Amino acid sequence: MPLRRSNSAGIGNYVFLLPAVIVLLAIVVFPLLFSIVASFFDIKLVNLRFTDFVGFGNYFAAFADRNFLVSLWNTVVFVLVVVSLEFVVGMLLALLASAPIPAVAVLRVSFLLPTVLAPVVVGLMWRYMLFKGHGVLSFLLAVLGLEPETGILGNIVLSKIAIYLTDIWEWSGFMALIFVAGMMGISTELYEAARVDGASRVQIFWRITLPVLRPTILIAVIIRSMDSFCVYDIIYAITRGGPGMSTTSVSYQIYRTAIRNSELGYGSALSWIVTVIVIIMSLVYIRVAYRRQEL
Amino acid sequence: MKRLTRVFLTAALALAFIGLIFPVLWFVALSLKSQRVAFQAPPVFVFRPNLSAYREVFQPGSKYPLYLFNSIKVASFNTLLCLVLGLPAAYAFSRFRFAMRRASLMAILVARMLPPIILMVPFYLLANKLRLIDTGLALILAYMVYNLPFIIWMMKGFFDDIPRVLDESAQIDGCSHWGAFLRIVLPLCGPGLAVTCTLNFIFSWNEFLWASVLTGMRSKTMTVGISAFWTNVSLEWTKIGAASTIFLLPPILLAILFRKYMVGGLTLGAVKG
Repeated sequence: MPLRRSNSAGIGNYVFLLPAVIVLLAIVVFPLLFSIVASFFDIKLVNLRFTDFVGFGNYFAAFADRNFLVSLWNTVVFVLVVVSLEFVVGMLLALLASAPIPAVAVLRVSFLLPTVLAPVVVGLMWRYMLFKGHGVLSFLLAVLGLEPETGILGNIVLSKIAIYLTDIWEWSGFMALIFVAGMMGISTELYEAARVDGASRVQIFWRITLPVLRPTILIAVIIRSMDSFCVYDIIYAITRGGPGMSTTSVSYQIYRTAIRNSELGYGSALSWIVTVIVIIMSLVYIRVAYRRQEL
Repeated sequence: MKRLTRVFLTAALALAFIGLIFPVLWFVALSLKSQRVAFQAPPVFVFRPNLSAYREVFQPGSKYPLYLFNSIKVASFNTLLCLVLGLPAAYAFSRFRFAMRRASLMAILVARMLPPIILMVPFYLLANKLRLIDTGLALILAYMVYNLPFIIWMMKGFFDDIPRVLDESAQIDGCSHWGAFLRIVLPLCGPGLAVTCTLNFIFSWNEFLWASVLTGMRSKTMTVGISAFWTNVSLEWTKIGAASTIFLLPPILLAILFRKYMVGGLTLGAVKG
């Protein structure tokens, strides 16, 4: 019974697993526990001691903290806007990349380009295009007579749109790649049968492509929702949260609170609020992505 | 297909392509501008390219060669360490059945998806306490939080694709589990291993938030170094362009090289490329 033999886990086999488990406990579980404890104390960097126990005080304070709530709201809007637009743009790009024309291979490679660039550099790239005066996008708006006195990045509404645009540029190609991979899995017989029945191209998209892609779409949308909920780099690079609080994301606000203002205990509490939200999303993701798979 | 549709599709494709690459090309162009041209309003499209920004960024005495070296060091050592720890673990998850196996796999996946901000404060405090700030070691360890789960998940997927019969016949021939793993299964996963390493390297290479908190003067990586050209008092566009162009080259080349496998990697195997 060779099968049983490879299944039985002798003591020696734990050596495969043990080092990774110990390291993960040390660098993930221990810091997380540390952070939970810290969130119940008032800790400043200058006074690094766990003496001022405040119970749930930091958490109560969070829900009265206008700046935190604004940043949370900004982030929720950001996620809703960018993920839905990335879905639409990504789907259009994927359809384009499966069209029977030459050069689609080149397009598919270009989808990868923004995805593998460092987000902080992508941010600077766009800042250069958005900058008042010498930026090409600023110039374009000025030519159209639409640029406000303060420039794009000085305007409360336009600066938000600039951040959205950057993120959409960065990640639509990623969505498209996932959809292209999904579309390749659809059998051509399905399409042919539909064509024989006289379905139009539009009908085929709505009645076959979209329903069959549903699980793939869900995976892409949830991955992007989790990632974009933690947006930090492009905001740091483009606006540093300004003007005012208009582009401050929740990660950026926590960085400001915990590191810049060295309110470590309070910052930990804020980051737990974000983490709980993201963990809920990741559990939904696991249900969707791995429900039917035998692992 | 009708000719009109064809023309329309080709035009749309060209437009999409330009949209995707223009910002990058414009940034590369920036690296070849003089400071005066870079700030010229309205922007100029034709100018005489020069390499002075590259010279300034990478001249002797500049910190940037060191930052580039730090990026290479952190990304390479992190990848290496994650492989050493992650490959055997991935093999165990693929081949052995043990208590809490599925739960552990899920926990590892959740760890991979944690928001970076949650570990920023504890890492900052611990690295301060252990005097790891400004050593580079702090980053190498911190990036394992994401890359070790990544390697375990990716490689488990690739190991699963190798038939068990191979390990078993190796064992009948007298190989231990380790022998079967190292001599039979691992060599068969060559391409999968290559793309996993590549992505691990790129993730570490591109990281910014933890790098900005856990590094100091000597251990800054390029992402932190590049953003340091923009301070409260100055904004050195041409240097940003030059440093970024060099810095972006490795991920772009690696992505083109491994383009076929990237989708599977970026979704942790949830989508087959």
